[in-house]
Amino acid sequence: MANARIVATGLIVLLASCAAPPQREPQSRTPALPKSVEIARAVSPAYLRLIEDGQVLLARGEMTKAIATFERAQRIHADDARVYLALSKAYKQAGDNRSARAMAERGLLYCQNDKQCSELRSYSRLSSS
Amino acid sequence: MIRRFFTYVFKLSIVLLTLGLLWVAYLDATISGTFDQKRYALPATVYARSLELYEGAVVDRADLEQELKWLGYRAVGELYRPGQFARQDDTLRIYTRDFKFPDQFYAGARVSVHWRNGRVSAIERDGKPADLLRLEPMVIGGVYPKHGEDRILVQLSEVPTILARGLLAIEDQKFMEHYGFSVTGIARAFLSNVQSGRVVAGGSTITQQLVKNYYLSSDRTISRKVRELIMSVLLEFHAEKEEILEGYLNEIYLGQDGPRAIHGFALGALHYFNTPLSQLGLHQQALLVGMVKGPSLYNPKRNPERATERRNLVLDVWVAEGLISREQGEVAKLMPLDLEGQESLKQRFPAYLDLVRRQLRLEYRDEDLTTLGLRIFTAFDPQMQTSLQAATIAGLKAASDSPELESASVVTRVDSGEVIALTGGRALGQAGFNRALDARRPAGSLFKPAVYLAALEKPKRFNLVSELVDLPLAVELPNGDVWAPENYDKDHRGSVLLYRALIESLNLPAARLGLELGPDVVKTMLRRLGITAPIPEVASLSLGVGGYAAIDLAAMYQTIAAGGFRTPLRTIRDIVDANGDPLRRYPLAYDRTIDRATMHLLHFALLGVMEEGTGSSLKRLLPADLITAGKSGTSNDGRDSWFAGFSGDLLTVTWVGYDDNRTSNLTGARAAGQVWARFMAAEARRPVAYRMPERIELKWIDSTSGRRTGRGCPNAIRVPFIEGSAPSNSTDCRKTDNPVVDWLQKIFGV
Repeated sequence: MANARIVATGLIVLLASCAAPPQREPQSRTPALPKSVEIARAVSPAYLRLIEDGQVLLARGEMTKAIATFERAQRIHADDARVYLALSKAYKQAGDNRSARAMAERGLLYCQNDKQCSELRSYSRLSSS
Repeated sequence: MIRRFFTYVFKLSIVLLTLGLLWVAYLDATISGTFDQKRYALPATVYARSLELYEGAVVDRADLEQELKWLGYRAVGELYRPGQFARQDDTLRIYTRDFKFPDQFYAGARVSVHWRNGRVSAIERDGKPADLLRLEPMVIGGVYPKHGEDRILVQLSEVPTILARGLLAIEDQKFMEHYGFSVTGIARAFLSNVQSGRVVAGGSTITQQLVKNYYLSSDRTISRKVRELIMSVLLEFHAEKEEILEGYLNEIYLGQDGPRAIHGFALGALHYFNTPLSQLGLHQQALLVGMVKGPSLYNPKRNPERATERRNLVLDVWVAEGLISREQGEVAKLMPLDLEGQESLKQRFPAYLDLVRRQLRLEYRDEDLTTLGLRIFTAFDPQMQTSLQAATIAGLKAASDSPELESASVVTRVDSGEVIALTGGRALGQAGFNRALDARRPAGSLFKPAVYLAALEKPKRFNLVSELVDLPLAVELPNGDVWAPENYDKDHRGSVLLYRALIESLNLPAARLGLELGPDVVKTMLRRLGITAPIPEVASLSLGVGGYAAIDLAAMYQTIAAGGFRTPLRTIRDIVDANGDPLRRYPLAYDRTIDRATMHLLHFALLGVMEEGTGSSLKRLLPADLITAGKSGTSNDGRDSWFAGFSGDLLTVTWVGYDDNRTSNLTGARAAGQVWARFMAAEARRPVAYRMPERIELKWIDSTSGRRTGRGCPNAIRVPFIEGSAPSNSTDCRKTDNPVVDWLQKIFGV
């Protein structure tokens, strides 16, 4: 009897997995983006250009201007994680780990894929020292 | 005897001469020590945000045209100079102006903005595709000294040649030749005065007028006139003619704008024509020059006919002096006064400017703000402000017929904490009591989220479906009084699930929970959320006792809306000095003070408030796809009506009540909610949406018992829990939505 139950349970799990749609991140009342799914978000070219401009400024060591440029990008798409990652990297480069961590944590609210989330997560674990 | 007399006169003359020389030396020191400094006493200028357009931007074309009009752009058929725009089907062509932003100089250009389906679809700059268009920000006010003088400093090289030469032709034809005063001018004035029997002409040179404005009073006394003459000669000795003329062009008084005195031609050009000085037409230049004689008498806004007459007289003189051709003069005389068609935005938002000034005064002395010519770049959004004002008028009308019912609102951007709009009362354009900052009122139920958040931070003890006691409560206070709160409906339910208690804004469960946690814990949570005002550590704290302005509650709800990230509420983005060099930036800053997962639980309940709780009546005012979260608040007997709520992009906190604290019997949703919902419906673009934080698990819960249940079971809802904190007891229902599983369960009993 016990064996029959084990077999039946296995069958249920197997059939259930066939019948159910692919497992997705469960939805709560707060709409949440599906995890581990690449989403080709439509962002404005201006947003991407400002991030690029900021990165050029950052490479030149013009920290204040770089951060101001990233902030302009953030005003265009405040719900896109790329700008928080850029800000996080800028602050880390400036030696301000506290701000770098805060920006990364903020970005985690909007990350779109595992790679992006995991990069942000690594910045969110920076120590303040 | 005679010899003694002459000796006496000689000695007296020596003394008088010495005194005279000392006096002249004193006047000389006055001029040489202050002339340069005096010219640079400039009030700070406050700018709104700059509108940035890009492909995909949701900007209504009519709103952009409005923005351009506010900036003084003129609608024309064909673009031929900066400051103009032309409509053409789904395209707006704009000739933008140069502007020096804190981070870059942005050269003006001919741009075309194309629309498709309510969004900007493409931008061209000088005929080439462009990603971004940055419009110059509009001036919304300044920080003026007590005497109210305002001016925009220009160099002589920036002043149109005709205007400068035309000014001399009217006011002081011998300027380039005299040494500070003109004997013929004085003689002519003397003759005119004798003939008319009163003082009709001053005969003052430009140098004398400048000296009088800089250093002397307007008294018509001999001694003042003598001082003016001596100082004029001294000034001519110390300064070049060009410097004196430049000083005059910046100093001259050209009228009044409420308490603000308009000085100098550059500000005059903006005030009367909303056009930069360098872009004035001949007819406008002539009008300004004509106004020098009597800014009040020839004020074109008040006395258009007299002003036109004076302008035409000036143009006739310019023709006679050969400064312009007869044809140019005739064309200019045919032109209308061409005054700014729309009221300037300057000083029309006193409540917001009040907040900017308060933030500035934390770091700058008044003297610096009124003399250094600082340029303050803020996050103020005139479109949002206009919309908030319209929502305030409509919302108050919907709430009550009383003209005395007041309102205050604060709007922030959720992702940055920038304050972008603010109202301080129903008299929207008038300075006065700023209720958004200074009306300190009990917060009512707006504090309840802090109580529940403090509880949810203890996942081993509390979750969203924890049972709370909803029974009468009486607490004896230290002074012997008894505090016995009641629910709004005067009823009690025995027990209620935690999230339902918040959704329905029940007082008894919140008060009991607050006491169980301790007022000190609730107070600490309020501090972590951003309340900086004094918080009384008393039993009734959970129900909002104390005095808090809308700005205090905006700081608290900003932290909630931002998912537990505390961000300082900012109005200022950048400050630059008079040369445009950056002085100070106020960067984006976050400080996570509440765990994201715990805040996610609170969001669940605040979304519920809008779905089925005290905010649900507002849903009809909101677009169907705009998911918002919020909380209503009402203080005792409806003296204060609050509503705080957010979408994905905007947070708005609104208060409605009477200044004399009388009861209004209006709930949070029926008064403040009316303003809140109308504004959010018009301006919020993004629903509340973000990635679910880690450590959150979703479980099916029976909403009546709070027990675990199956999907599809009666009263089943999905509720988020911190991992491991979901209830373990469950209902008997095991129903799932999977028919295969249901069938197998039935057969095998698993």
